[in-house]
Amino acid sequence: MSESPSPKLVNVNIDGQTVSVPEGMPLIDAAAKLGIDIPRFCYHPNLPVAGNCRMCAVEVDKARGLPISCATPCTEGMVARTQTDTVKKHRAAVMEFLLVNHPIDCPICDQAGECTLQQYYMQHDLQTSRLEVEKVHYDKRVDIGPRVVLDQERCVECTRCIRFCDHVTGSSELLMVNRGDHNAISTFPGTSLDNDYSVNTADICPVGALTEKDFRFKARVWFLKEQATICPGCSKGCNVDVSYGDHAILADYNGKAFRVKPRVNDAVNKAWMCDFGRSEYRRVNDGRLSAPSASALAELTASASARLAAAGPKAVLITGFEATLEEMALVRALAARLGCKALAVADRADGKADDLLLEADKHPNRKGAEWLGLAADAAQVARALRGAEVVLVHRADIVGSCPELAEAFAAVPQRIVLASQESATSRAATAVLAGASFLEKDGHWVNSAGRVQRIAKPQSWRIPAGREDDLQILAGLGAADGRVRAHEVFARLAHEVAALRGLSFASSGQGGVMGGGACA
Amino acid sequence: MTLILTARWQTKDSHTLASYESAGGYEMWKKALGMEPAAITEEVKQSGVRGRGGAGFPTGLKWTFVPQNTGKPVYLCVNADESEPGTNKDREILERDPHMLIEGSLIAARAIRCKTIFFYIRGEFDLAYRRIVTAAEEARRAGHFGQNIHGSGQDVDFIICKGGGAYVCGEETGLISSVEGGRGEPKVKPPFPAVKGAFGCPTIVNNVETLAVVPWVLRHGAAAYKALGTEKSPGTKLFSVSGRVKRPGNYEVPLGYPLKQLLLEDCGGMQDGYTMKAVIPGGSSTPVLPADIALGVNLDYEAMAAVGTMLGSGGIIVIDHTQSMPDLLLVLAHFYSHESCGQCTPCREGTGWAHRILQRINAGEGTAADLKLLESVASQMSGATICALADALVMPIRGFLKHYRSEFEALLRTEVQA
Repeated sequence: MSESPSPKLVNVNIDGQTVSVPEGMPLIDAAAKLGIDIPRFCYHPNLPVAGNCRMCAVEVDKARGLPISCATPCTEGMVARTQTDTVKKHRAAVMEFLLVNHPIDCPICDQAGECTLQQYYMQHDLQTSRLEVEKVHYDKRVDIGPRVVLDQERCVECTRCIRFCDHVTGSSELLMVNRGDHNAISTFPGTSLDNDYSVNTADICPVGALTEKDFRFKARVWFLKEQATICPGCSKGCNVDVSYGDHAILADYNGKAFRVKPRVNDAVNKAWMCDFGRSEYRRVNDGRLSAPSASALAELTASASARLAAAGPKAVLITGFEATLEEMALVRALAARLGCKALAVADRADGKADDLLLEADKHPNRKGAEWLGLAADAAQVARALRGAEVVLVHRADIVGSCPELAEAFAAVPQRIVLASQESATSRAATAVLAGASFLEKDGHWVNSAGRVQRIAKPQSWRIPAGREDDLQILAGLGAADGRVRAHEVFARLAHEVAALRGLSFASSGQGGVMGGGACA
Repeated sequence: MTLILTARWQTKDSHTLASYESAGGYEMWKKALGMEPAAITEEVKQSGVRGRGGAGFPTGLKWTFVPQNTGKPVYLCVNADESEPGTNKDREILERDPHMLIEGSLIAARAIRCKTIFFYIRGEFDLAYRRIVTAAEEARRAGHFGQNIHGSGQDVDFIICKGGGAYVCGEETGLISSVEGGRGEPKVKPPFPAVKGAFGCPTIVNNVETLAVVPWVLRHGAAAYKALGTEKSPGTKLFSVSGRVKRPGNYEVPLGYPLKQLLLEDCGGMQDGYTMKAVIPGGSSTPVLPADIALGVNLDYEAMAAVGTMLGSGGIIVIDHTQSMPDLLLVLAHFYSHESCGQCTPCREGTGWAHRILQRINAGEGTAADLKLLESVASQMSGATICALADALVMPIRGFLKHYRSEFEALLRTEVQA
């Protein structure tokens, strides 16, 4: 870790429980350490404090009135109370004020079900309306950017979105216009909310004022579940949650992914992700390859296995930088059994990079391929393909990404492709084996910093017949005997690969763990 | 009677540098240039001058809050954003004796080791703005500020910022936000401006009237100033009297002066045909006093507090018998809801809601429930926000309902039992 001196610890007492926290930590965060959830609209741990919503006010000994806990730094001996009648009355008052000019159009609001205002109404308000006068009306459906839509009436003016654009992206497209209860979020004249991280504003919006255009009206969130995984979009490895369908009655939703949202990991992406990563859920839904039936896939696999075995050293195995460590391990094992070459190659061109999250390398696991000794360049792959009798291409669109490799691929008589989505390579194959999307499998990717992070499939998901987990297909091709389990493959890798030594499925957990001997 | 602020108001061309210098103007600044900053602060502290923007905080004490040796520049913001309804004292200082204010500001800057003064003036002021711009230009040409002032080796710059017309920018952190180029919104305290103010640097914000007395304090000494007024409220103060008195206007009187004497003698009493109903003593946000109470109170911070109101900014609004109190409260509610910056939930929503409830009551559509609701909204707003703007409406609501409830009740619609 860094050399900076560790901050002084202080003891604070909240609702009768004592906790030791770094001096100056906001009281609201200290409470969270004790499992005390102080309600808030404007506070966000990754943004500067605004202190405007007033929802997080609590009682603090020796302080006048009710100080807001987001702007109250912890000091030694501080005593606070978050559940007194005064505090509860204050919260109900703030809630009533917030609803004075709120349209309460929950039935047509896409935020319903994950709305802080709804949630807090149930927890902290539950009063009937005393409003007998007209509400202030504002603009609805304001097209403020290509990916986000604004409803000014639903806004609680917490300014999280403004602070995000001011302090995280530095692009400052948003501002508050007018005054008092005519306040409204808007864009500066001539600008649009069109930065590479714009959808984060919809995530941090506590209400339905900012919503993501792509997801709007696709599904009620209570019909969806979320799976913690890793974004496949670049080598940053942002931690994400993918919303997916899993419902007894709404069977149409099942097997589909609906959106990608950032999952907090201070070591990687804090609470953010880029807008490009938001569309990665489409890999789960679109252009999926499938065999007509499970038995058809088994037959194709057996036939491909026989061809590989027959070719032996004249086979070539190619995998992509999107394959998991475990899949790469099986590709390597299969090559060892066949006595042939195994290589991993890039199939996505370098793209946009910045100093926030976006990395030029658009593959999620190049580092893993390097650690397993598989990484190769196009020229090496082209050389390996020369004179080969059978090629297995796993999760790499070499035909679509590289003309030189397309030519070399076409020259191989037997071309087996294992992939989840259709591509130029699958179209040029002699046999196609339908694998799993990133949301349908368990395994690990290693980001560019060397953090080993888990991708995972929802427990309840069954891969539909005609497709199969890549690991099982690779096993069926001869990489292993019988069914394999990802955690066992990883355990073996942790034994064999120096950079992964000591790691396990248990230790990689939800936040990932540094590999490569960089950090314990 | 000793006059400090208004002493030269009757002098011809009192706003010019020539006039000011002929009366000894800028001598105290030259003296201050040779003084230790701490000595200036001590003199002001001893004089007992209190902030004249409304809060009455001891000025010299405020100056001592500036941390030393932070490595950051220190700023002085002159608060000329006078906007409290009923208050127009600072404007007249700006118009009639701008150099006294500039000199006071320069001396204050020296006291807190500030090299850049931001002079923040209300956007609607026209003559006052032109007067201060001209005066600053004259003072700059005369070498009273700029580089190496009068060969002292000291530099002070004087930057005039014109406001955009927001009441809330008269609140010191709102003013700082505006000076910084941001939206006029008060900031969460602590940190207080003296520690972390404009551009994150130590900043003192002082009212026009406060700074304008500083040259006098330096010339005559703290003891002379303290000899005026009362023990806890020393000095003189400007009061802006408005309403149907015979001679409305700005009056300088020593603190502790009887309000009765000011209104009935100095202002000549009520205009013919009008009787005094009530007095709002310290700007529109301070609780109203019925005439009989008002005429028994003295004009100092402590006496005002004793009758449940505040000396505030010194904007004395005299209300005559023809004035409907619900109608007047509606005007005030409109003002404060219109001027709420809108960042804090209780103020943004509460001031607007209170305004609409009062509209309903004044239109004859209110019920007894509306009156209760108005009080409830007021109490839910009170003390729950970053700045005191919400309370600036809460105080009149409470004061009006305390003394004139029957006028509101008379407007209520009788509820018909079903």
